[in-house]
Amino acid sequence: MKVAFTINGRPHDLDVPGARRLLDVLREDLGLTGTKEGCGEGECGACSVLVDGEVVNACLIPVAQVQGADIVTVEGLEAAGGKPLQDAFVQLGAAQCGACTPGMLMAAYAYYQACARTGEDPLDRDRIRAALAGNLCRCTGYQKIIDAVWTGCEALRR
Amino acid sequence: MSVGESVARKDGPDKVRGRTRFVDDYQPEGCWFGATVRSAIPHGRIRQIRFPSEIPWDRFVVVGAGDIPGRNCVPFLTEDLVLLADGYVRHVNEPILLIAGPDREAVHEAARAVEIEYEPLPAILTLDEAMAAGSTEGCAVPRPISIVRGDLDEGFAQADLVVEGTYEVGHQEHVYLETNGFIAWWEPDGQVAVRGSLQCPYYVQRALKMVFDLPDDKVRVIAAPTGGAFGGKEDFPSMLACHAALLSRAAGRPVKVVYDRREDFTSTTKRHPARVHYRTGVRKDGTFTACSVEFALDGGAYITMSPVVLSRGVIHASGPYYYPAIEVRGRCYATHTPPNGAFRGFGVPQAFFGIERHVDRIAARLGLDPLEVRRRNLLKQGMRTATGQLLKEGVSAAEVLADAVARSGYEEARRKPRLQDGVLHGVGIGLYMHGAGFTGSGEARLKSLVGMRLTPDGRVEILTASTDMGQGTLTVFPQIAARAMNVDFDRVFVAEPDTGRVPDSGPTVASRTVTIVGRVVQQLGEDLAARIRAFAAEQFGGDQEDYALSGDSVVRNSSGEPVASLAEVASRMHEAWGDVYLERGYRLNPEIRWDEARHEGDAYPVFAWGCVVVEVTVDPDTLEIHPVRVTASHDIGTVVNPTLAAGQIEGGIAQSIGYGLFEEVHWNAGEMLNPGFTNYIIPTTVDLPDMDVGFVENPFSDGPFGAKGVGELPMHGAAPALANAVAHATGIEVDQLPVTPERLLAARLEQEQRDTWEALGARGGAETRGGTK
Amino acid sequence: MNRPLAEIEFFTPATLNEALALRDAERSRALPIAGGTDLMVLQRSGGLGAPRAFLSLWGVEDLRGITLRENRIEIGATTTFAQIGRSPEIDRHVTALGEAARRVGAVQIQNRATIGGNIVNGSPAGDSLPVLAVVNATLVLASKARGLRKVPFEAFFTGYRQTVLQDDELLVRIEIPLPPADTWTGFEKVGSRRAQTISKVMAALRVRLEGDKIADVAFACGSVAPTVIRLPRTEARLLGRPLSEHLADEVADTLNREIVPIDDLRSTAAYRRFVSVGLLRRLLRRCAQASG
Repeated sequence: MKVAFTINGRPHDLDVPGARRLLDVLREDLGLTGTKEGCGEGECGACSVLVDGEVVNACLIPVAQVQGADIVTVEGLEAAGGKPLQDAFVQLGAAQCGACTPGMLMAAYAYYQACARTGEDPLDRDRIRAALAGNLCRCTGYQKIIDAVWTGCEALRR
Repeated sequence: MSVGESVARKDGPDKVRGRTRFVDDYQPEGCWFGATVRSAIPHGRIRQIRFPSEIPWDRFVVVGAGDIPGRNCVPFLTEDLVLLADGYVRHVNEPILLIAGPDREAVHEAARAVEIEYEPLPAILTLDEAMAAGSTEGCAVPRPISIVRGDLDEGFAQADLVVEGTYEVGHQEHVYLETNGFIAWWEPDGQVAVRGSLQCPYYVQRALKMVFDLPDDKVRVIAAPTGGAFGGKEDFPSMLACHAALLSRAAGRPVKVVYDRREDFTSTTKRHPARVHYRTGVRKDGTFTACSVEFALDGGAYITMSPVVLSRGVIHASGPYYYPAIEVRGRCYATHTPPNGAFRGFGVPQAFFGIERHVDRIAARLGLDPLEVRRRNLLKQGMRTATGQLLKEGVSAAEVLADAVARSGYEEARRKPRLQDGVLHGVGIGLYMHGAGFTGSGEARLKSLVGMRLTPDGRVEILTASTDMGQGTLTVFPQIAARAMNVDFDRVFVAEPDTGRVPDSGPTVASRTVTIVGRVVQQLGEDLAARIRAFAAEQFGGDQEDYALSGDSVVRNSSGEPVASLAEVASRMHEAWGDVYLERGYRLNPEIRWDEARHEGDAYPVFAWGCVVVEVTVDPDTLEIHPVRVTASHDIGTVVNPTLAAGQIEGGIAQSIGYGLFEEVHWNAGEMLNPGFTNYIIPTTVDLPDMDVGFVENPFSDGPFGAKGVGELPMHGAAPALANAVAHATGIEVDQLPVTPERLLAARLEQEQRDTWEALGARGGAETRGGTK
Repeated sequence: MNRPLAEIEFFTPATLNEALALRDAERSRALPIAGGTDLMVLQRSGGLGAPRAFLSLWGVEDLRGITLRENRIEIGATTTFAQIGRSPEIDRHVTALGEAARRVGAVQIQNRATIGGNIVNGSPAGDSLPVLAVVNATLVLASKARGLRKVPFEAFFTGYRQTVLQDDELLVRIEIPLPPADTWTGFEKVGSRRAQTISKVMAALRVRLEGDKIADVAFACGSVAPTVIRLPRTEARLLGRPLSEHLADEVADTLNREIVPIDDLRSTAAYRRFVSVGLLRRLLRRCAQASG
């Protein structure tokens, strides 16, 4: 099946089975291995990507359903404007093993964008926690991730 | 950048860009995928294996026990663990056959299609059943371990009250976000190479050597960046590496075996379930007079790490308290379930759930505050532990307790009314310690070797087998070396743990990476700096003492004036000597005396200490339990990197909260019923509060710049602190983990029934006895 | 046996008419799929029975959106829970549905999970179902052969994961009558943790007061029976009583005779009974607080 979409600003035209998981298209067909598979069931958020600005689990999306969509993965986060978040993660110790990190960053960036759209103040620890509740981490206890998202959002606002 | 600074981790930039390549991110040219055919029954013989014709078997390779060129064994402390079942299975999901093929989905389809006929045998599936059967069936159970100190009869005789309690914990799964995986390939010269998610490259090498009957130089193990491990990649990778290598050999091409989450849940190791029974003699003032502990573990179907888990649990079973007389008896039982293995804490979290719950039980019986009972029994410097170890280094039990209590608002929380704003409130304490490094003379036996190389352009390469699974090895070792040599942090880096290049510095376990291996890194750094200074003296005149290293240069010691850049000096050294490489082994303090048979003496070079205070709310409508405040204080000696260390503490506390509130493995006939995140529950962001984490620094005389170990310590306290807080909030004691609303409800109903019967009995008794006592 | 994803045909109609034509032609050969948050998981575990094809409704914009009519609110079947959770119309007129939407999984799931999928999937733990049960919802089904067919929500489920949806029909929208003034709705859910959790018990309550008396009431529970259920006998005992959270304890015995909770992986029957009463108490308390 012919499927066309944009990833990190670049157009792609593929011929793939329509039910193939977006996650597998990203990792195996396009070599974008930054997005991780943690469970394959949409429970851990390690495969989070942005599709038309919304954060979703790539392991649950049949690729035919992103026809014409604008997709951003962790590889494109810097170009999309997410560097302050990434820098905060590095500086504040929010990444330990790094397996959850790409998904966390995408969820954090989506949170920031959603706040920008609605005018809500992103600098609220409880709201940050709620926005990241679909991303499991086993190393950090989330403490420094929340710190980094707060700091990253603050930097993005400036 | 120096020890004590929160240097940003070196691998951070790659991790936040998705550039770090974990095992499954590699797809070598022509690589096939592997899958495993596993036992469907817990115990029995294999009668027949059939390959249904719907599968095009000529497109796959299939490997069984008969294809193992060396020994069908994965060696650990014993050699009972079978690599592939050979006609006989001991647990559900025991590996029987391996299949490889070009398409990942198709090869798993093929594995599922294989039909196996069994002759089932009776199975022992729980610790209860094993204890009843005195299970020594099949694999020999490790011998019991006992610790005895003091006169128990005398101790109990002096008690005003004897308090007993039984505490039970079940399996816990590591839930590293990256599942287990390996890629294996064979070089033309007959060398097998593997790249995997692992903690112990040389353990894996040992297994490959045995399975393929190969010498050291024909077996190469490379540790990929590891996406979390927590002990779950200490022993299991040895088996998986051999599986991948067998398939690669049969297929004549690289093979990648990566478990999906379900297979990882069902088929790899977990924390040993335990039942711990405490019998403690106490005086009315809360001081302990004697203690007798029974410690039972479920090891699963093979021995793997069980003897050491048992040993460590037994050694820590007395906790941070002093007993005039103490006896601990520990035993590990076998069951027909997947073998249990290493998991952060290694027997100690099981013991501490018992100890710390029991202290609160004692406090409740005596009508004392649990804080007070702890204060009155603490170990202090100069005292001896249950194994008779004299605590010579600083003992911080009192300090961390005081610090955590002060910052947590504990005393205020204890005084406030239980019900506030329609919700029940409670607060509880967990106080604990952890001995870093291998037990007793283990580190002497390991003889950890570390290498250090000065590159031709004047950078320093550290070569160890220590892997980075998130805890920060790649960053902390350079901090230590940079400080030891007084050179720029950015000039120091860690080599990829590849057995083809790095010496055996021992496994990345037992909280030993900083305090043991890091110690050698410090010493080697000093050695290398001395060599550089000596060379400078040869080149530029004078003596070694006239020179020093500073940043990126060699300087005159007296004036600080630069003499030459490190790059320049290194280049000359390479010209003169060909290479600049030093090696050094860990030397255990020779004063350490340990009697393994009697489990007596100096168990560990040093203990690290910790305390966590947890405040909870319990909703009366639903009995939902929520931790609302977490305060912790830890003594890990000198803190090499405060941010990384705090990260370890926060992560360990979170894992302990999971253990305490949510995580439970459900079984049916030896099979795990909840092998997924939907029903195996770990905390999300909204299940945890912010954590206030602080350090008390009591430097360790034999640690690098005074550092102790931190990896496992934070696992021990939050689970019992939670249970204690729930007891405070509700008046209901739950002695099993996890403390779920269901258990709380059941315990409350039980307590209400008991109270009712007691009340009825008291009335009835007075009537029938006609008033006599 | 699992059919690999690569072998599953994938239909992507752009309009409702295209979708209905495909549904009519393929019947049970093609499984309707919207956001995939349930079906993609089931496919992986082998629980779908090897469908030959998927019929994707995700791209059918006709099926998405929330429309306020004069006396009812209409929700397209492929409207996501994120959209429902953000909707001011839902918040104003069917508050409990917004509450339920915001408790579904986490953000990533809410962005993909649809109310239609939640209904047709028919799990007794479907988060939207107790709310739909108490607000007199009507489900609008469509087929190429017969056009539109309206089914009251309470008649849609016939058993555990069994519905009256024919194999040539699709669910196209949900219609909820605008409630009379002074109507309060609320939703509560207890899971194993605070986010991303399947419910152990859920409940939804609708109450209209006259003075301090309960003049009209509907109470439904999820995860305590093979389907979502209304509790008519409990409702009868609440009717006419002065609003108070203590009513929950008074009606607890009746409530417990109307639900049939089980012991399972997630929880126990005993706990579910206890919490069902607890959730009614919470809902009554919230209702009392809202009415001042």
